[in-house]
Amino acid sequence: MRNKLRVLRAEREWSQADLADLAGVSRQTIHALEKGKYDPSLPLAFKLATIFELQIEDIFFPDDVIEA
Amino acid sequence: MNEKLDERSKREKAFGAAIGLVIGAALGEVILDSSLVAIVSMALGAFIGYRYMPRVHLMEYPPEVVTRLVLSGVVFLIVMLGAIYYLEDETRDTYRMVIALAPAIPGFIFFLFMADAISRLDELQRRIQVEAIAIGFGISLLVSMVYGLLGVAGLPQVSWLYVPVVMVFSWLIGKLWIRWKYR
Repeated sequence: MRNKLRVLRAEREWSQADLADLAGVSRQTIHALEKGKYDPSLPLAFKLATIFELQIEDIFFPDDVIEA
Repeated sequence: MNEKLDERSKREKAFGAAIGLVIGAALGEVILDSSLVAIVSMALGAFIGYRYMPRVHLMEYPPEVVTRLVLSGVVFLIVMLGAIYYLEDETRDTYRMVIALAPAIPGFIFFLFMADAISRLDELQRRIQVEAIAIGFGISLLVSMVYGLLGVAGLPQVSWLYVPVVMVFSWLIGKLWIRWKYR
């Protein structure tokens, strides 16, 4: 699965640690998510979507889907 | 938010410096047996730890969890070493069974606290710990089994007390491996 976390975070000028604090997870988790090394659980994906005020599918998408 | 980050960064730097000091001292005094090397390596270790520790992704346990984990670990270690010291002298023949069993109580409390600490980690860090424990279990099983068979074949028999040491090292190897996977 791929995601737009890095782009969304950069648009808001947040550091990984800022986003980690908002999502209640470690900086390591945000780093692994952005690198595509780890796919989040559904509750974490919902939490991230809430933080960015977007739908989950606006942030996360399958590998075979071309990013909009 | 920035104050919180500054505080965390300071904590990580202090932790890194402390770890650097301990490693430097161990390297200089214990391994190379030189006070001069110890002082230099402590200074270097403290600098490297201070400078680079905030870049390392540490397991993020709440402070109170760390405190009770460290305290229970220290108590467990002291009781364990005390029991070994007492039991090694075979002329001491009173309460040997009781003293041999004594470390089990702080050990059980320590492992309860450890399980509690792992359950408080976030989903990725918990996964890293669990995968590392699985790898550690596999490696220690293999090492114990292979050396056990080599012992039967003629190599010197070693104490069962080495098994926990092998388990801890195997778990650390597993942790490094899994952290690298999610780097």
